[in-house]
Amino acid sequence: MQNEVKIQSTLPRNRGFVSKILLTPEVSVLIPLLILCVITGILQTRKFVNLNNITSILRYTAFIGTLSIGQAMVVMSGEIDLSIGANAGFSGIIFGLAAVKWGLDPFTSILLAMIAGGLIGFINGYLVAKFGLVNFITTLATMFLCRGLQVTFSNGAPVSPLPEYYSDFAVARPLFNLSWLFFIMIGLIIIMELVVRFTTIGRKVQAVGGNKEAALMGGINVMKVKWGAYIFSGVMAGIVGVMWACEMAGAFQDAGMGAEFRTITACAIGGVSLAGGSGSILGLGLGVLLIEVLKNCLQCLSVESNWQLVFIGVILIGAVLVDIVRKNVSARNV
Amino acid sequence: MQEFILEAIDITKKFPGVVANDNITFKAKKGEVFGLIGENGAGKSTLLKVLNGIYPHGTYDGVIKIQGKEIKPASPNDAMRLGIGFVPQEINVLKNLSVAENIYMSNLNLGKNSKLVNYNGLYIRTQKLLEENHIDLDPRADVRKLSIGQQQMLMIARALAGDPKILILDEPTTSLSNKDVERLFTVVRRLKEKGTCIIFVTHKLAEILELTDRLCILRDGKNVGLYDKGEYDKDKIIADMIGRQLTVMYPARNAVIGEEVFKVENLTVDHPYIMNKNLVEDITFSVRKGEVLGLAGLVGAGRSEVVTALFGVMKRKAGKVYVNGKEVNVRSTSDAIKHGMALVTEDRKKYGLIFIWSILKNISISNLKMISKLKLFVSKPEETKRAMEYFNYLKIKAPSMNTKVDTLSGGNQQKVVIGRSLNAQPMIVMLDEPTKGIDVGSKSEIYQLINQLAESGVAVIMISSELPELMAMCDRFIVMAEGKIAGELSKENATDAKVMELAVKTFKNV
Repeated sequence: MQNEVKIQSTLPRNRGFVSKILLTPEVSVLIPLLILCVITGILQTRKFVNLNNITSILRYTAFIGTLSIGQAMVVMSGEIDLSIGANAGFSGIIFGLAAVKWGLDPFTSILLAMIAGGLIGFINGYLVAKFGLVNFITTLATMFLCRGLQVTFSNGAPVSPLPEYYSDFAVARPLFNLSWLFFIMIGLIIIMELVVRFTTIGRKVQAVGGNKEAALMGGINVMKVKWGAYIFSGVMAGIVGVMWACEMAGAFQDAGMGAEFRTITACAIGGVSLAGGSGSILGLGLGVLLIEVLKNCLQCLSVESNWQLVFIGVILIGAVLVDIVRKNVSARNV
Repeated sequence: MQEFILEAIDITKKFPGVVANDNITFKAKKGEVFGLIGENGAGKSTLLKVLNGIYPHGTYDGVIKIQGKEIKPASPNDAMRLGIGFVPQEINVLKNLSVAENIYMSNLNLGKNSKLVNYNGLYIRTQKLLEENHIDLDPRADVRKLSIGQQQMLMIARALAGDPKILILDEPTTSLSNKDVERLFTVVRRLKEKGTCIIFVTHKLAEILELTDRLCILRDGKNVGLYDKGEYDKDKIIADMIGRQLTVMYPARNAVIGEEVFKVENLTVDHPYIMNKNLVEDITFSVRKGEVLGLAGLVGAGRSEVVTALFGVMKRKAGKVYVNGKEVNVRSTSDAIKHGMALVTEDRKKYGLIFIWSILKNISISNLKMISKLKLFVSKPEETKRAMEYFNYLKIKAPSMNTKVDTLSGGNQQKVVIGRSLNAQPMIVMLDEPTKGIDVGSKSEIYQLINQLAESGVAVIMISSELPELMAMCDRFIVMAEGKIAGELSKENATDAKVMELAVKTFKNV
């Protein structure tokens, strides 16, 4: 006699499917994004809906967007990187020194910045993943370390002027009035989304973030995965340090202040669960876009710039609530 | 004069996709121990949650009556006030507080309209409560220092503080040693004499047959049997629980025992925080192909430490490991898996599963190499095909492989963990309490699995605190005590008494 589990469906199939789509990270960001665009588009069509404005919004996303990718990988592995902003600033100074003071060619200068950033990431990884220190305090400490090095190495002043070809590169508009920096970010988003979704690396990162003990039992080297995530985040910081320097035509001693919080916000809004173990890089990109669009909409609607932060806070709360609803619905819709 | 103190009438609770409780009706009397038994997934937990207010009135259909009057509990607190006390399955005590504070946590000012904790009164009141119920705890004791058995007693005392007419005990003996179980039974019997109605939920048939006066069996959300103590028939009850005749609890095994495939020499593991003390010392044994080796011993003897150290989770201070005659250096779990070892741990929550993931992903994580192109790109069709094999082989009961594992019953979760271990195609499988917290039907399936493993040539090391299970399943026994090997027994020589004798051996420090 068979021992079958009889499951009586009490909901029509469709409803589960629709709510599942609605609650994917990408769609949950897309909806408020579209609402914002439509409202502002209607109320301030002239200011908002023009090529210049829209492409400038997109160009602005390049920096925090790239940086957030690094943060996202660390967060997905179950940790956090508070030093990422300061790291970018510090790496930017290294890049500036290489390009301006030491007269090195672009390839070497950029490589040095990425190595500097990666080195900070290596230290973070060593302390958190190998040594087992608490991620919050440790990356806070490296954040101070980076800030200090940033100010020291730059002697408290911008490292400039960068050779012209750098700012030419930043200002160039190869396609649709968008910058090379923007396309670099898009490229990285696409690559990392593929990595997360389809590769063994992505699977391992999510396993470690989902339940590091279970991942360990499944034969994953948890320490290596977390260490790697931090190094990756450091290298991303290096890249963004270079991006900033190009955009500002100089490596600034205070570049990147507060950037780490913007990356964490982007993760939260973009569906990269801060508890670790899941996330969509596409959603992350949309999250960064949402913040920039919000700032722009508020400007177009002539809202005092002080209110920007209030609105970002509100959206962040909204994102957390949506995340909770998503988890509850998915637990019931088996 | 009502005969029944608690009546649950036509309780029905639905979730999207499943009817967890389907018109369940049962009645329990004052001063009786009423047993509730059923497989995981039968609806026991749901029914208890309805009774103790976690699913408040309005979220279920049906009527609950206490002493003939209908009650509509709006919350667990409400249910407590109405006289229903509940002791959940997971031991959940506040480790940073004392026994008394734990017991009266929701009532620290002892009912007086004061914002201050009445410590003096608290300790006196606690002492009185504990003495009345013959629970041996010190009200001022630091909960951190209590053993698991004592913590369980604390949970019961906490429920008793509300002076309940009905006390529900949900799987209270899962983590208890035999001695603690006896103490628990004594407390339950005292409560019975006092007139409290006790609802006792457990998987362990032996306990329910011994302790309860009447027994109700749940299966697939329905009440399928009601027995009086006089009518207790083990086989019939099991049959009702699983809906089929379970002719043999421990299936026969036809394995051919081959050459030695695994050898451990002088394994020693340091104690993590006590200096100059070893968790396990000088462990030497070997296992052959197709053999099931039992690792017996009391809780704390060091059995789990041996297998976790072998698997690369804990660091070894000393010792050599040989697989197929060749020495291997296992410094991480990936090393262990590479050399053909697998470990199924006892704590599913912590070590077993990634709860936000599906069955599919949980199984495939241990062998991504097999299903990925260029060792990098995971092939979805390969993954699905491979996981499907284990899904079917293990007979996992779930709507599909994409079901999230946190919705599965304990037995099925255990199967997913086993599936993950088997996915790495091990030669040596170590099982630590593989049937802990699992219902009868699933247990039998797991025994069958173990047999199939042995029959296919895998060497199995099994740890179990249930002696009958160990005795029935193993070909040979290593008995551990105090971190050392106390003795080795073959199947012919092993008796319960001999194993126990070795297990309680104390080693004089030389």
